[in-house]
Amino acid sequence: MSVELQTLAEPLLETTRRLVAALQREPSVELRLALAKRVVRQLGDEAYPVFLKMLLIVAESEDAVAKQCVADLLAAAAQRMDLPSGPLSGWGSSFRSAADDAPSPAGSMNRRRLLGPIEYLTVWYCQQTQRPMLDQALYADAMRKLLALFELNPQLRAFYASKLSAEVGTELEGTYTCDTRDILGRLAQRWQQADSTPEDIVQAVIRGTAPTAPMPAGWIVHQL
Amino acid sequence: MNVTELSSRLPPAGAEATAIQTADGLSVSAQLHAAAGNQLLGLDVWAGASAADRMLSVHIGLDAPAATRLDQLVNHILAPLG
Repeated sequence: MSVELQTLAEPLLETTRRLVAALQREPSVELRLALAKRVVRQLGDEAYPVFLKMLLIVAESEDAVAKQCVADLLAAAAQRMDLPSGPLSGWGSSFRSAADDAPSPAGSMNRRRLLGPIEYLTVWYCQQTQRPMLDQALYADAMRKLLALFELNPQLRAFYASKLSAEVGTELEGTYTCDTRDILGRLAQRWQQADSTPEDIVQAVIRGTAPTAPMPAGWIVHQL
Repeated sequence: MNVTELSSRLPPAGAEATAIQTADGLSVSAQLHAAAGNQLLGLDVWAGASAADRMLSVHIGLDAPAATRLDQLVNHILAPLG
């Protein structure tokens, strides 16, 4: 289906404005978190990128108050190990099939793992999942913007970087490929350095995945 | 103000239930599902907006009576997406 994407801009902006307005008016962090998670849940499993887009819209805005509100909310969520998350299939269950959404007695072949914003983007970029892989330019751009947003709350940076660092060492087999672990590990390591900027972090991640030989124009190369 | 108070300022239930149509007749929801995630992330929603226009907090869309539940608030937030 041919999609005129630009017509989605205003509805996405309006939804983001409404979410920000609701978050700013709610004094209870518990209820703000419940609201954000309910929005993600109601969007549906396959629409988690819509929530990521809403975070990016906030990050791209010039609204310092809105940005701080969202960063503070995510800090509270990270502290509770309860970041709004979306599902992607593990690398052992790469391709979408008719059975993909059905309950699987076989377990791991259809296993989906709930991932927070950074893990979701990285798995989407690095691994074959139910979703077409994310290209490098979009991954880098989105990661740079999200990291800049997350920087606004130092606790969020500390909690999230520590979580990623711990996770790459302990995550169950089948969730992350070696490449994904490598990227998340480098991202966490650089993010934990106090003086690193979002650009530094993204460059450290991307440099490590650069192809060693020139690729034909239009190819998207991932280390599998 | 808590969520209950906030919700009390939302439009009545069902007031926004009709899916919003885009210019080409597809609902926003249908377009969102048709768009690949790559396209969605790459979409520039702020195209043409000046720095002064890139504000989110100025919008107050919660000024009508009725409604008392969190799910109604979520419906209100997601209504523009159909």
